[in-house]
Amino acid sequence: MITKRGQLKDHINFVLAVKDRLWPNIKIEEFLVVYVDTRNSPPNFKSKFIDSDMVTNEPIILGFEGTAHTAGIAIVKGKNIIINKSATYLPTQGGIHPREASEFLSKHFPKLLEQIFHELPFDTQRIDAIAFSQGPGLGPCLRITATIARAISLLIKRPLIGVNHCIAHVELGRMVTPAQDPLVLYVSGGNTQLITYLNGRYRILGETLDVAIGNALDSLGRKIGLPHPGGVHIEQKAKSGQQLLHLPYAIKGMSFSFSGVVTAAYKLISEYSVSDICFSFQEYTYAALAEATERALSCTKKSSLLLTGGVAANMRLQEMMQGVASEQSVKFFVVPKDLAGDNGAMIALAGVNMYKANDFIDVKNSQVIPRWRTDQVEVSWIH
Amino acid sequence: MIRQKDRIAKGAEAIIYRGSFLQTPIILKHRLPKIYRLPQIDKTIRLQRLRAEARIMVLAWKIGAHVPVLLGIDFANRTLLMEEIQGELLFFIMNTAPLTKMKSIFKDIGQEVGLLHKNDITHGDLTVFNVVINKENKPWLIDFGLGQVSVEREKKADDLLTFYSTLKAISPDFQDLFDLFKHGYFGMYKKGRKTFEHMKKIQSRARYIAREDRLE
Repeated sequence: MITKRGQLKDHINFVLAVKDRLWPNIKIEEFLVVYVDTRNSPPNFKSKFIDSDMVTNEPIILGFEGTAHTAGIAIVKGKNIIINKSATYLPTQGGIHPREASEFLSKHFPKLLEQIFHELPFDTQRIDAIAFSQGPGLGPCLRITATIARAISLLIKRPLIGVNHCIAHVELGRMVTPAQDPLVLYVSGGNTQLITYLNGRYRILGETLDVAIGNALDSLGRKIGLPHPGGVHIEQKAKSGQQLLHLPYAIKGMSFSFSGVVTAAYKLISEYSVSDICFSFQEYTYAALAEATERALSCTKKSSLLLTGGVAANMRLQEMMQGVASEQSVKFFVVPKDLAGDNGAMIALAGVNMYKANDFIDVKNSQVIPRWRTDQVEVSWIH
Repeated sequence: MIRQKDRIAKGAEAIIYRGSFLQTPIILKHRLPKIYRLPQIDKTIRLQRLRAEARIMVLAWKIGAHVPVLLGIDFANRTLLMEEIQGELLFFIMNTAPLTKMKSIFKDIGQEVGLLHKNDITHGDLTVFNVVINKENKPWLIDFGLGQVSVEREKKADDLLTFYSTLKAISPDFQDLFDLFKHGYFGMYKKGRKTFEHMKKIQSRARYIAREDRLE
């Protein structure tokens, strides 16, 4: 919600910047009321979209993802991802700075939108709704995303859908893999949760008690001198690790904690090689995740396991989860590598489900929710 | 002598076999190696859990808590021999048994846990899967692999929180049942209220809890 005068001014300037870039011929006064004919810029039929797909009744959703470091925009129709574009902010030093991340988003969203509308194989008026990541995430980033989503919504007169980022990861997994009613292990830079569906809500069975696994990997990477993002580089280094060093194995029931493991691993840097530390860190933290997952599987008696989120791209974690699934004889699914991290497509796909359940919000009530827990969302689309 | 047909359950950690020892029915709990962990990690964890479980079971039995009697330990095979409790897991009867029956059971569970906590024993994994209800509708606690002897309020509060969150994920009447559990717990353990306050504090530490809801 806009509370300060300065913030309001920033928002207006941002909306106007978007307008100037996309529709420079429209007068400001007419901006929110006129119908804009984007056919002025001829569409470019480079994408894989086939016109026969238009025959089906599936809704077309434009999705905006911007909770932290990724600016992502996607257009989907039903389960088909038509266009999916994103830009990722890479901090030159240290971790993600909220202000710099939001500046990055405000710079890149207009560029991405321009590309999307150029490549769009049909008219913008065929879009049925706008979905955006309403939370959880970094406040400044969420506000940028929400602002642009509201502007586009008012401009093309289509309803808004506020999507929970964590649930979008789950919905993506449910739509691009054959997993039906799975137990979900959602591992990313901001969250680590064991999620399952029960009675109209996604319930959290276990979650991290301090930092997320991706965050732990990043901060360990920074401390031992590896570049950002830490997870990728740690995975590479771990391949040459030989010696298993002793680290804490932190699991509490079905919840886990990683910050102590980071500190313990960092303390070993003077005596042992980086690759041994990376190897041991992965083995201990992923083993804790695997054990919690196995516990949750045996409790819930679900028949499939879904791995989603940015860290799902890690091959060692996938291997361990495959092991867990075969121990408990359940099917194992993992999201494709290119959709594992934050992207616009997951927001749009979750938007498709919410569109079918008429789960819309007014622009008036579309304020961002930076601390939106997965179990606070009423799931209207699963019956 | 273990036969495959005596295998009665497979949990996340162990396989349970039924057997007999001096004409009494017993349970063999065999902790399996996990293929997904590195063997070195796996070995230490299984040994730690086995030792913890044996120690806690003996201590809890000494104070008169409702836990199975430990009959033997086979360190080489990571196996525990214990008395068999004739009954059903709480999880399986929760959604079928009438609510009135459940209410008295939950009060009794509260008393059991209160008794353990009063003697500084924590369960470590207090879920509805680790409570057996016998024929007289009395609860028995099992599976002490993550148990500890500890005076820390944090660890005791953890037990309550684990119980609360699994209950919440399983039963629609979780609030009523947990209130009864609390009633039994406070009755047995005088410092229980402080533990409960601490549980709320731990709960508020989770991610994305609104600032105004945080207790510090």
